[in-house]
Amino acid sequence: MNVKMRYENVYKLYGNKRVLNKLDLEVYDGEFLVILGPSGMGKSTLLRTTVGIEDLTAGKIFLDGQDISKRPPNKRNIAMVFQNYALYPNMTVYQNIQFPLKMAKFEKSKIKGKIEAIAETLKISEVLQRGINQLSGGQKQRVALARALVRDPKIFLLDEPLSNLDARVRYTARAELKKIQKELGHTFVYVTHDQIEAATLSDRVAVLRDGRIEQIGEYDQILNEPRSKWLGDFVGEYPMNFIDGEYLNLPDKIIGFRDYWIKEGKSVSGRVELCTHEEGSYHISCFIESQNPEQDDGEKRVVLKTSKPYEINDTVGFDLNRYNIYNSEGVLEKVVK
Amino acid sequence: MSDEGKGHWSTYIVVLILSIVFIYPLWILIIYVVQPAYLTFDRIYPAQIPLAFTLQNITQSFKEVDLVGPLERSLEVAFLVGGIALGLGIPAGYGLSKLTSGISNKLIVFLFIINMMPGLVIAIPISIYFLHANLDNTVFGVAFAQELVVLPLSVFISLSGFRSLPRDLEYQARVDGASFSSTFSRILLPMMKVPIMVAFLLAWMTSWDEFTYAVIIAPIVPTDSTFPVTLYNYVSRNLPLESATFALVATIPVIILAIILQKYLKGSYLSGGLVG
Amino acid sequence: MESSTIEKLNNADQGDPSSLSRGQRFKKEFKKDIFYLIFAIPALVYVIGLAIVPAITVVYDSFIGRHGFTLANYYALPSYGLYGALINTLLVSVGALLIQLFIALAIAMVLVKPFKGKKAFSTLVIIPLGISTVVSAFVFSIIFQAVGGYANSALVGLGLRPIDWFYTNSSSLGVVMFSDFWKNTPLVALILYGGLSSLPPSLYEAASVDGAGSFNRFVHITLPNIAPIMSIALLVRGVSEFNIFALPLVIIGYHPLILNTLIYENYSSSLTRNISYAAATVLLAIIMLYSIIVVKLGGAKDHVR
Repeated sequence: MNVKMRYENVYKLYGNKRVLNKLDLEVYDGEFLVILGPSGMGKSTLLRTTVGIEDLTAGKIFLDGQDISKRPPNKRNIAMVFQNYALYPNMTVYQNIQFPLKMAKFEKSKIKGKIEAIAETLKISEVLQRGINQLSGGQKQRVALARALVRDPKIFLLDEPLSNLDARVRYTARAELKKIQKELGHTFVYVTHDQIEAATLSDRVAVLRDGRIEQIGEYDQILNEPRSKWLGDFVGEYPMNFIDGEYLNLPDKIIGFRDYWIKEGKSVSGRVELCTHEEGSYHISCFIESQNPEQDDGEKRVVLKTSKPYEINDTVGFDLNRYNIYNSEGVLEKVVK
Repeated sequence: MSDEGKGHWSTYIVVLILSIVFIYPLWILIIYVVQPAYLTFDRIYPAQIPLAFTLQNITQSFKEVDLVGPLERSLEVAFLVGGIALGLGIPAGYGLSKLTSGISNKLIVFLFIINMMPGLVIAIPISIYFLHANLDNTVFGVAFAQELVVLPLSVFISLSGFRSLPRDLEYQARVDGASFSSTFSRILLPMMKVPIMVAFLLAWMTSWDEFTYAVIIAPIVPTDSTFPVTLYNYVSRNLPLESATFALVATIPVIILAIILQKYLKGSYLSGGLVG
Repeated sequence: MESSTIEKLNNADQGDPSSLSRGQRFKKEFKKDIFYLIFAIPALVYVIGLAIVPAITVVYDSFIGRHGFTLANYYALPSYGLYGALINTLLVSVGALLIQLFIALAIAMVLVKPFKGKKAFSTLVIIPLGISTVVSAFVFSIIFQAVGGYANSALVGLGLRPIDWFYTNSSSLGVVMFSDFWKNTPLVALILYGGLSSLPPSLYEAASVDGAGSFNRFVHITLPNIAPIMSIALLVRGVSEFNIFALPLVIIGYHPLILNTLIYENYSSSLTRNISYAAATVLLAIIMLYSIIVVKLGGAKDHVR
């Protein structure tokens, strides 16, 4: 894979707060990279320093091998779609899409054709002459995307662009976004805190924590082999279960397993606290008996996926199909399948 | 004070009384001008309603004293004051809107204090500077001095205008390839139309009304002064009919202007940007 | 990748920014501020050059006599009528301010309610804003003149005795106060109206449901909610009232004196110019003191809220 963009030792400090803290990252040419992380972990700052509307405190960003970290935003040739779309309210849809072309001194005779083509692709041809206030949320998102796509930048940054849409529109918008990216072969860096978006859109996911990349890889890889306890907790529909190594005769270790990595058995048993029904399966939350009650550190509630319902206070026993072993610092040591 | 709740009739009484109070002086000015002197000026107890109509006061006044010159002068000064207010105030408002709040707050307080400084205290030394710079008794001199009254206000209006713009628009424009200056002129300024208009209008009206600086910088009448100073001169020379004509002629267009633009005369602007 | 790029990558290994010197950090953080400060500098230079410097000159000159530094100008002030002028200025300021606030509140409260002719009334209220101070001063001097005045003709028409409005100091000041109220109330009304109309109607509805009558609604809902805006109007107008000049000059001339007419009267003659500077310094000191208090109080209030 060719490296399209590369972050090297990137720092961003607000006062003494390190929002980006020695961040290193490579973005491959033509990939859909999702930056996933809880809010306040520096996701937006990463994008804003990449386009240059905020300066890095230290470090470099290379785009196609050239250091762009000192350039002003208009000299970086990066497009960005802001969370609120930032459509120019004093312009029509057409003028909005035209703006980057005008700024790039694009050949006048070709502007019209170019805009009409991109409008065709994004199905906004009928609204080209409308004002911004006459658009629906979904249309606004498409216009913002069209404006980003129209000038063929080197890379696209998207800051939670679907978060302002209602659930139904979001579903189709997601599918279209992925389709367009693949068809046009552009490199997308997409920031979100939404697990489903990360799972469905991404070629790779980079999880951001405290200003650096905690893990990068395909979503399923991060889901199944999270490099740290924190990642296991954060990634996935349900947090990963962590129990004392004693259960499997692994003293001083921590066992991590997903809710669906179990089958009925006897190695661990617990008392059911709650049982919920989900299409064809059940999720139960239960307390497992502690191996050493004296120094129990509260890691004994687990969530399990089962095929049959349980009553509250029933006893449930299970075996592990697979599990991950973490050391006492919470770092992944071994994957057991 | 709780009339508003008691039902409609009390509201109408308040409205009626206040309407009379606010319209009365204008009414008096009009009937003073359009009646012959024997019904107004020469009467011990003039009537509250016009008993005769004449345009003679107006035609006579235009012949006897210079009314057009001072009005032209006032117009020139007012447009100059409005123009400088925009030229200095709009960029300053932009700069303040982008500064770290610690710094911008200090500067806002500084400008606020400037706005409170007594005009006469400042006007006197300025008149001496302007005398040396040959700016006394000039349109520019008066405008430069009056600018002090309106500049802080223009900065505040511009500041609150820029603050109300979504920040991302400016960033978006930069990302879309616009240089700093084209972002400012193509994206930000078009969205600032209303604040710019309000700032200009308030500067214009303040200058039209301004007396303190004008009387110190350009006291010589009739040809070099603005309209308020000239009117003061006619009043002190005891020319009531000419003064009244002058006052009416100068006032009617501004009242019409104020009424047309009343939707822009909002409290948040008039209080110096301190509200809201 | 080109070899030069690889070289660059190798050289790019920058350390942790905490290893940067204080100065470098400072420079990075304030580079933007300095850039934006440049936009404000012309305006700031303008007001410093044309307001701060002259003010300092006045204060300096007020301490200068024929033989250099002196306090003589200040000692002489009382004999030029300083105390009377101070008291008169205070009387007019406070009086006009209170009337303005009271009537402006009434107007604002009327305007937030729907009634027939509301548009006409709000237009009418604007009128004084379009009439310049000197014009309104002139009209009020016609209205209140003892002989040929419209106020007296109205009194006589009602069967009352005419009054010589400019005979006593207090009635003269009363006329000034009234004229000032007329000219400036619309401004205060607009400020208060802005505050009142920004209150959510649900506030009143909730109070009505809770059984609050109109008086209680006013005392417990309207007043506390517009108190911040009212205090701002009070402070801003208060300073302007203290600076009142054209209105008294046209209506009552120099009898009685207020601070500004005292300054102006003595400024006109080169013999008493430094007296005028001393009086101006007194006015400046009062207003600066007042505005510092205002700023401090305003700042404190922001923290409280």
